[in-house]
Amino acid sequence: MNLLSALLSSTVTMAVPLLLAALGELLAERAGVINVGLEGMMLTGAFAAMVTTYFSGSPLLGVLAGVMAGIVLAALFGYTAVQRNANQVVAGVAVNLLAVGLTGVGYRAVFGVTGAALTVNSLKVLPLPLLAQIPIVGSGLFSQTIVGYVAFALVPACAFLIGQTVPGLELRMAGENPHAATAQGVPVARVRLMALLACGALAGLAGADLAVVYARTFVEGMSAGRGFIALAIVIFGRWSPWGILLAALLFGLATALQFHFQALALAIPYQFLLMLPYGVTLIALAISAGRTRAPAALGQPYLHE
Amino acid sequence: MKDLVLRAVPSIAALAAATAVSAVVIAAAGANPAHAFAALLDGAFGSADSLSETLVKTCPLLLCGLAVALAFQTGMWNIGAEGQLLMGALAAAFAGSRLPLPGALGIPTVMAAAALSGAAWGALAGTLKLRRDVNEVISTIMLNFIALGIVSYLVQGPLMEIGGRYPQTDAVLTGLRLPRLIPSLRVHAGLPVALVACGLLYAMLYYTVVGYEMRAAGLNPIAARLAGIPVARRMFGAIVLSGALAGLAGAIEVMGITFRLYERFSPGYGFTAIAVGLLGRLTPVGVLLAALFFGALEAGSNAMQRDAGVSAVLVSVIQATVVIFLVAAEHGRWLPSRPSTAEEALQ
Amino acid sequence: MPPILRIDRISKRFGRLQALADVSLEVSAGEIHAILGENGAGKSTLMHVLSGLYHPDSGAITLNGRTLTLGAPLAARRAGIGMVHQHFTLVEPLTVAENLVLCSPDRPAFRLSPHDAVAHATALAEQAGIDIGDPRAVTATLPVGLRQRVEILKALAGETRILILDEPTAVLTREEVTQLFALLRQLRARDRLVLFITHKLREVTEIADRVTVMRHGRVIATERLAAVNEGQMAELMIGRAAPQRRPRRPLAADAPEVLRLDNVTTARDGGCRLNAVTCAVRAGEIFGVAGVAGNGQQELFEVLAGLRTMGSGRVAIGGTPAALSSPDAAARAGIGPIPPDRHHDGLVLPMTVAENAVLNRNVLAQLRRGPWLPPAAVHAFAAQLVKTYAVQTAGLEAPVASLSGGNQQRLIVGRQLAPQPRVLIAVNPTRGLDIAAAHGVYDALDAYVAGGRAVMLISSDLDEIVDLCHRFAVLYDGTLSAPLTPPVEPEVVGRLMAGAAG
Repeated sequence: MNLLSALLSSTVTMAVPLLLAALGELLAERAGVINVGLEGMMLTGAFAAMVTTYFSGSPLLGVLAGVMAGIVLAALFGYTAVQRNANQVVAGVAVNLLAVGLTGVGYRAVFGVTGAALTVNSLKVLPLPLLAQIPIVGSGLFSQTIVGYVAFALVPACAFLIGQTVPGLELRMAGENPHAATAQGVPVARVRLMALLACGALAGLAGADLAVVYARTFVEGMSAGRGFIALAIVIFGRWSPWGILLAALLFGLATALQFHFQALALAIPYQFLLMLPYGVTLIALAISAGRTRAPAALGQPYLHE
Repeated sequence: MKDLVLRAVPSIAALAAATAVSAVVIAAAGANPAHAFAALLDGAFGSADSLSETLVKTCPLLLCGLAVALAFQTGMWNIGAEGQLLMGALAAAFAGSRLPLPGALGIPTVMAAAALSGAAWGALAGTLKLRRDVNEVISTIMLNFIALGIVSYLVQGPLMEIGGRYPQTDAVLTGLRLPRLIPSLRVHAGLPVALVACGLLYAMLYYTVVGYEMRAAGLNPIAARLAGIPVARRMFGAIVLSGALAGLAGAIEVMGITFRLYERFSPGYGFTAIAVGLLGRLTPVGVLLAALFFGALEAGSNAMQRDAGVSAVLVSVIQATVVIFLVAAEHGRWLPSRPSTAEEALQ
Repeated sequence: MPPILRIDRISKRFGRLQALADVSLEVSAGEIHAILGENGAGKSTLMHVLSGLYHPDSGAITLNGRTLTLGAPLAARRAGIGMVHQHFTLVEPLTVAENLVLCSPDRPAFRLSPHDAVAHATALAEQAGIDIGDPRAVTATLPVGLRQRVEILKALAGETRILILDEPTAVLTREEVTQLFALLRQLRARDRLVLFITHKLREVTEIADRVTVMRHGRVIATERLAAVNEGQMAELMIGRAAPQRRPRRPLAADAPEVLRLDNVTTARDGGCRLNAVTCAVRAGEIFGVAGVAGNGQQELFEVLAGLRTMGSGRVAIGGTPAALSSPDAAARAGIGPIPPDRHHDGLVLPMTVAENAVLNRNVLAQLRRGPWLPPAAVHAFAAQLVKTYAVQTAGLEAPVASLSGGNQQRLIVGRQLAPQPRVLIAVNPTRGLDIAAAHGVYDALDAYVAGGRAVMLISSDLDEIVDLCHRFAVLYDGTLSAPLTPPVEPEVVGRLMAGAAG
């Protein structure tokens, strides 16, 4: 039972950054923008968070720095993809390249070329009273850092924002039919930019979580494709916050299984577990073709007159 | 002639912007930009060795850049060159370490196998797109990860070298390795292969009916369809050929440089190729020049790191600035504006 | 009723086109007023000026004695003018209630539960007296008629006194039209003013109180329906047909049939459904298909060009049945299409003039050497084309986008004529061209049929049809009339075009 508990705990730990990034991407995509640069925003957030925590000693400050870094990158992407109406995919790829370069150069500039990885203080784990005592699930679900709780709280928050508010309605209109939205008075460009900034903030937060909570350090390229996994999670979760939560947990599980691999003694090579989410996404996409519930205007540049 | 110069202007402007941005980043990192650029140039062109390294890095970038350019020109957003390259490398490593054929016959066979492998990987995304309307941007990215997983599994398992000391495949048989062009340098016969591919693609795009049809289909699938061009078939063909080129890139890396396949085999050639394709304005000649440029960057970056203390990773900043600038400057008007739906292609 | 809306000498020019010239109109509350005219008459332009989307060059509009700020959609909205466009502004995946939230002045600032949205929509509907069904329904699932009612409700939200409808019955079934008219009468009873743009005579007589006929950007007449009959309206709408200017080559009495359509019918899919279209075009003939755009011309073109499958019916070329399953098959069967929208489906704009000159399956088949397309051959062909059709261009390597519309069209016409298809299908070939360019196209068509080939000219420009064609038929709502031979009474044509009993 210890194993189950540990597995659950790892699953949630792995899932948190994925969840955050995916929720951010959800906002962007519901508004009609596909943000392939999610990976780069996470990476930059991780770097900013680690550096700030290292020099300030405060992990909380580091987390905030991570969020800011994500926002800055998102602003650049937003300018290119929304204001300048450029091809969103290519602009996103560029953001990733930029992030890799800036963080790599930055890290060496700040810390030199050292051998050992530097560790930073981590956020405190805040177990919820009573709930954390529940056997098996207690330590897994109810013993998180503040970032973890925020991540989970964001699920119903996003659901509420998207489905039950006027800004959420405008967001959905911009993503489904920007022409009709404009005719109804929705400021499509502004809505998309705001959504992107929120996306950047969450991606930055995800990166901060990686650096400050999970790894407690920064390593070049440490996002390791999580941004792309988050993209898949949005699709797999059918563009709904709750679906994304489930998908993030699933992907988190797949990642966590690696670490408990020996103990689990599964007959499957662990790479298959890693590939599983991508394969399943492909299959899911292929099956639901025609019924794809992506926002109708996703990825299409819209000339804001 | 004037038209060519005009078309090159955005690329040149993008390079200028990238230089400026990099200078700022280098200065902010506490190093001397002039010093850094000098080291970079020296590392890329300063000696026979450097020149050789530049050419070595140019090979896979050229082939992958051609792959990207061809796909993009036909309206297929192939972000999966990286995965297709890996599948090609896989085939090459497998066949290259086992095929009992003399070099003259064996080398082309292994290359063909690699090209086919990459082509099949591209065909997967193509089929998903044209039969099930699956957005090829997402499917090719997914396939990249799956390819990574397959490689990881195979090099740690069934294809791991005999003796099993490191997670890598058996070495390519010496008879099937690409010969060096100059004995003391690393530049190998993959270079002429890449150049020939470049020439062939140029001929195809601008001198054949199929090439014309592909270009028309990418720029205006509706008018192309009315003209009788089988748009869907051309798009599929483009991504298959694109995969083949990327697969070939994987092959020449395995057969000419690494001689084995292992994880982290590619430093992201497939992704850099996107920047290469765009900088080269999606034309074979442009891609050749752009590949040389990025190859020089990669080769010189190590020297820059060593001599001027600036991380080699700076090249990513340069690449990114180039891409962002190009893409933002013209509202992407010379690019197809979004993944065209299967509907448009099949109408 | 005293007039509440005064349109005073409004003019609007787009480049060379005088879209509106000195238009004046007075309308009262409690009236359904029809604006009748052909394509290009200026009806939509006038309504766009009224709703603030366009700023007129001169003139004024007063509403209840107060001057309306022109060119400002928000001002028009606040003044109580609501417009329902041809293209709906509803977001399909959202519910009806969600689509109605943003349109009313007292919409919530932040919190919007689905319950609130539904209540809000229901209140709106009750207040206006319009039944929109269940507000929780997803818009995409609604039949078109219901969607239109939602659009109307949207336009009526707030203190709307003037409702403008742009060709509202284009997408409705007969039953839905009846329901719409009942709604309009309701609105009239509540003292609203309804402005109703249409080209359909039958509907004008059915629903309107008064009608304003427009032609070429001018108001020809404004009459009470009681004072005018369909024939008169038709004549006002199309004016006197221009006397034939061009001498026409006589058709040989025994000229064989080149193109024959038998009961061609297409499926109903949101556009206009072709209904048992039957006609025959003979060698040496220019056969015209007249009618206001939107009555099946696009569908007819698509069927013949191989872009759309027929539900039933047959097409024969030169006596042989033709399977028009794709543009390639159509080209092989002998059909040469000149598409309606040169930028959208006739040219690849980023490519050069030379490259566009060969954008045709048959041309490519002619020029290719196996898999190769020798640039020299392309060049020679393009040069010949440019010379023959007097295409003015900076050079063969110039981007085709740099050519003027007229020259682009000349290029397309030349290209499609070059492989000598048995029958040419030309749709609005002179749209957007000046007189000289248009005559260039006419000359090319005339010369073409001299060789025993045939042309089907589908055009919404009646003058062009009457001038050029040996015979023509009128397409209305997917049905093709029996062929007429010019000269024809304008009244007869007008009635056919406007859907009156022929």
